Amino acid sequence: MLQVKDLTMVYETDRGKVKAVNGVNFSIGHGEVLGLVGESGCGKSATLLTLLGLVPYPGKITSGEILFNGEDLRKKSPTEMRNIRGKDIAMIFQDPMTALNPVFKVGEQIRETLRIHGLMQEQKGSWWSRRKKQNHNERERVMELMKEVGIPSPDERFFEYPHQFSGGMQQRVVIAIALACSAQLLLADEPTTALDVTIQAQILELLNKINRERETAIIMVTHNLGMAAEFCQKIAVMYAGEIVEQGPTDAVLENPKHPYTQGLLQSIPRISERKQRIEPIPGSVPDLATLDETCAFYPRCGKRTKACLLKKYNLEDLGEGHSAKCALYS
Amino acid sequence: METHLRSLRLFGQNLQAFFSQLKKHPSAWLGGIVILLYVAMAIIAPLLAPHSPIGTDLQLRLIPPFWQDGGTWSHFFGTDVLGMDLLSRIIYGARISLLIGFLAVGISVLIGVVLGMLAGYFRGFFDEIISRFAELLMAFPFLIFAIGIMAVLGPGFGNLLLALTFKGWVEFFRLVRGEMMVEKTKEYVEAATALGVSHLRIIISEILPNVVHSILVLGTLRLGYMIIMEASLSFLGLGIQPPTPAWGSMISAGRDYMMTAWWISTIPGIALLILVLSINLFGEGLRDVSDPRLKRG
Amino acid sequence: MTIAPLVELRAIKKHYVINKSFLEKVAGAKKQIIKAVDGVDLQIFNGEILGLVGESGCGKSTLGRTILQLHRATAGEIYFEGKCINHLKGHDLRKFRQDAQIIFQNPYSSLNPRKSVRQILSLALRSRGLKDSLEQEREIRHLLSSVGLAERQIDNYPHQFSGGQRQRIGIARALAMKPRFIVADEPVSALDVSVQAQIINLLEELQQEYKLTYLFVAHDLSVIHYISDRVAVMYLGKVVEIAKTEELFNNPRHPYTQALISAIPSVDKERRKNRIILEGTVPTPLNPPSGCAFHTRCFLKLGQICETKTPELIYDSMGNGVACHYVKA
Ligand SMILES: Nc1ncnc2c1ncn2[C@@H]1O[C@H](COP(=O)(O)OP(=O)(O)OP(=O)(O)O)[C@@H](O)[C@H]1O
Ligand SMILES: Nc1ncnc2c1ncn2[C@@H]1O[C@H](COP(=O)(O)OP(=O)(O)OP(=O)(O)O)[C@@H](O)[C@H]1O
Ligand SMILES: [Mg+2]
Ligand SMILES: [Mg+2]
Repeated sequence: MLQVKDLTMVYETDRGKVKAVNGVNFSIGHGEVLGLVGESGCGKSATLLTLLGLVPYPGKITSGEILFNGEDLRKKSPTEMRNIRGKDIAMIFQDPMTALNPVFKVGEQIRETLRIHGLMQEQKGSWWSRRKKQNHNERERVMELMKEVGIPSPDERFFEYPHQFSGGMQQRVVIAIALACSAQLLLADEPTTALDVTIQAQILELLNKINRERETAIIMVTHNLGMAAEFCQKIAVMYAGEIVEQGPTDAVLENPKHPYTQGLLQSIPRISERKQRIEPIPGSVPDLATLDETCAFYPRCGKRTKACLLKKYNLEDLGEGHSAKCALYS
Repeated sequence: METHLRSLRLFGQNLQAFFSQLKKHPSAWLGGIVILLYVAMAIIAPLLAPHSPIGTDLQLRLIPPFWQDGGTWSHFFGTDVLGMDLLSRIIYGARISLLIGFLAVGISVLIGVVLGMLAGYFRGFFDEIISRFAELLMAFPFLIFAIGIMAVLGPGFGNLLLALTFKGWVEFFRLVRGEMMVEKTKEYVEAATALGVSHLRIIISEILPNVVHSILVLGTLRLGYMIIMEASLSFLGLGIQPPTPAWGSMISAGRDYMMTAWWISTIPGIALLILVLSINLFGEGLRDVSDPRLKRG
Repeated sequence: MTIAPLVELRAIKKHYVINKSFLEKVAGAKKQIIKAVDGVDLQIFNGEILGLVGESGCGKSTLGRTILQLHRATAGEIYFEGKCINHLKGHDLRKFRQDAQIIFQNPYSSLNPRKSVRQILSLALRSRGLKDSLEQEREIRHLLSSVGLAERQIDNYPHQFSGGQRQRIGIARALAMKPRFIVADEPVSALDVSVQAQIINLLEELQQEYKLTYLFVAHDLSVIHYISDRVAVMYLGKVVEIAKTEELFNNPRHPYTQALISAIPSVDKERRKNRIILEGTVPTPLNPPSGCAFHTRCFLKLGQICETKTPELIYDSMGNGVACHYVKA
């Protein structure tokens, strides 16, 4: 359904070019859940925003194709893109407050989406009765949606403002807006990071339900490997703007190929019977403005060789959809 | 000793970085240079002024500036009704304006910062009292307030300072109190408390360096305002009295002659305008440099 | 147990009064009280790492800061080595502060942006009474190397460091006092996964090297599991369960703990079990539910008793405690 080919997005800053998305390739089919994992600043949010055509200033897409149902989104006009956003592709942000307008009632904001995308059936009759019926139907539909995402007593909650909702409830409203137009693809940028553990579980459960019942594809950005493991069928690991490894969840997590993925997995504490010592990756994430063409992980890598510096390597297929970008496999 | 040297060097580095940033603001540079020129002019006024600023000569009344008919080079900007040389008076007038401006701002900063830091840090009853008083003062327009004080106390240098600072500290108080309340919640302050550092030391050596920038910016912007206020009061006859050269009273003295001798009012007015404009340009440049949020691009 | 605890809390409460504005006071608005910590009994033993978990706003940070006397407790007593420290002042308070230090969550706001590493650390050393500048220099270099920072960075300012490095500076500052007890308030929550592991290892090594005792606050249960010897679970200002780490994770007794542990997303397949999804949202400490604060979301609720009677923390013979009517019954 969505296929991204060789996508590159560059921020042109005072300090130089920041390749926040650097030659990214991936695809996702109907009803699939793809996890985009990686540490802070590796370009996860930038990738999602680029997909939506919302490249933030001073960013520019320099190459690549974004094929959505066979059509290249880069060739669409701004108006067409606006229609696609929200209707076919919806986005959920880490901070739900940024997605909601603080001065409008929650119910109205969901209803607004229905209106903009003309999702309610036209009614017959005089102008007045048509308006009334339409209004009524819309409200019913909004309540339905609110119930579906688990907002209790929607008839009261309809008239409240976003700040009267807790973080988890706000996130549900954002999800309801995404559901309103039955988007085929949901882009979720760390949808649970700002929430408490028990609330996180609720939201994940909700997203899971939507994925199962509506066959909505989801790209979920997270830095929590455990969450990606439980929630996604496929995982793409990002480092410094590039996808360094991707494949089916079990393959990537149980048999990681790229040294970075291996390092990540060794540095998270696991809850198991006997205590496994964690092995941190030395150093820290590099500044994207100062990178050259070779492997960005080289300075931190435990398996580096001279071959690493020779050239730029590509994602190499290792069978069963599992691929990694490393000199070890070329 | 060694640590002092090191901090001096760091201070130098900071200053350097600061000026190199300021370079990106040509208008601020220009403002800064003009301010320096004015200050220099005020300091070496006796060397610059061709005539005595208060020497009257009724035979030389109302001479126009040199470029007009009847103007002479020896009275560059002409003379006023009493035959006093305008250029000399403007040069000496810079002394009054700058002195009053710097003193009024300096005293306001001192009072406002001390009270603001204490109120913002300790809060409680003290804060409540001072804040209410400050709010009360805020309710009066500055000029009317100053006019009132001057009318009661009578004109004079000391009274003028009192009138300007009586309300002038409030702005600094509010700024510093607000910043203090923000900084106080930051964890580095808690860390210092946990180390057993005394409150006074925390206020002075931990928090103050973090708010100095804002104080500097506000101080510069207020400097222009104070100079205008002094001129306004002098214009109304409530500030510096003639024959002491002050731009405000010079402008006022020329009012009746606007039709026949425009220069008496206009030229001191322009001198005032350029100074205040430069100060504001410089102040705004400072603000942009010290507040990266306002930076463009 | 017969060993005397290093830190002991008895019925500690910390209530914040929300100040109304002047006008609201005139209009007769009542003071609102946030019961951030509402009756906590806790013992922390020498050399152990006590993990503290709970949802946002349940009072973890407040508890840590109250122990360190950064806030004064509203009620209750705090003992450090058997001495009551609630009302310490002046010299005695400064002496206590050499023994007990804190590490903060936010590596950005916890360091003064206008001070170099040297200045930050020498402030701590001076508070300890080390005034001689040569000795300070030596000590600072020693501290830097023990937290894994390069000595040549001694004159750098905080903004020249990454988040993980800043956290190391914060740790060095706490160590400079030669403390025996450290409150680590979410020291790794703001860090990247790969850096988080570095800091956890560092904290563990330092604990062994200097025989430290930690109160380790975190909301990531895997981190807590990894580092703690015992774990206390807080809910809305109260400790609802406290147990040895393995015991707590393998056999959680309080329904809230059960839900928390079942909600941990895990990379390992075999750990993914049935998830308990709690209904509803976290109540606010401004207006906590009556009785057991958890009853509004509890799936094991017994009925009347849970709504009216606050359950007490009851210890078993192993020293594991739980506050729940259901478990007791
Ligand atoms: N407006 C901008 N101008 C210049 N560089 C930017 C801009 N926005 C982001 N960047 C840089 O682009 C890179 C990718 O940022 P992005 O927000 O996509 O990271 P992320 O993976 O989502 O991280 P996080 O987990 O912190 O959200 C970062 O290195 C960041 O510094
Ligand atoms: N200085 C203060 N004044 C008033 N209320 C406060 C203050 N500090 C904390 N609170 C309130 O006390 C409660 C407990 O806060 P605390 O910071 O201890 O929570 P926490 O468990 O550390 O949460 P988090 O996981 O978000 O850090 C919160 O409801 C908070 O709003
Ligand atoms: Mg992001
Ligand atoms: Mg906290």
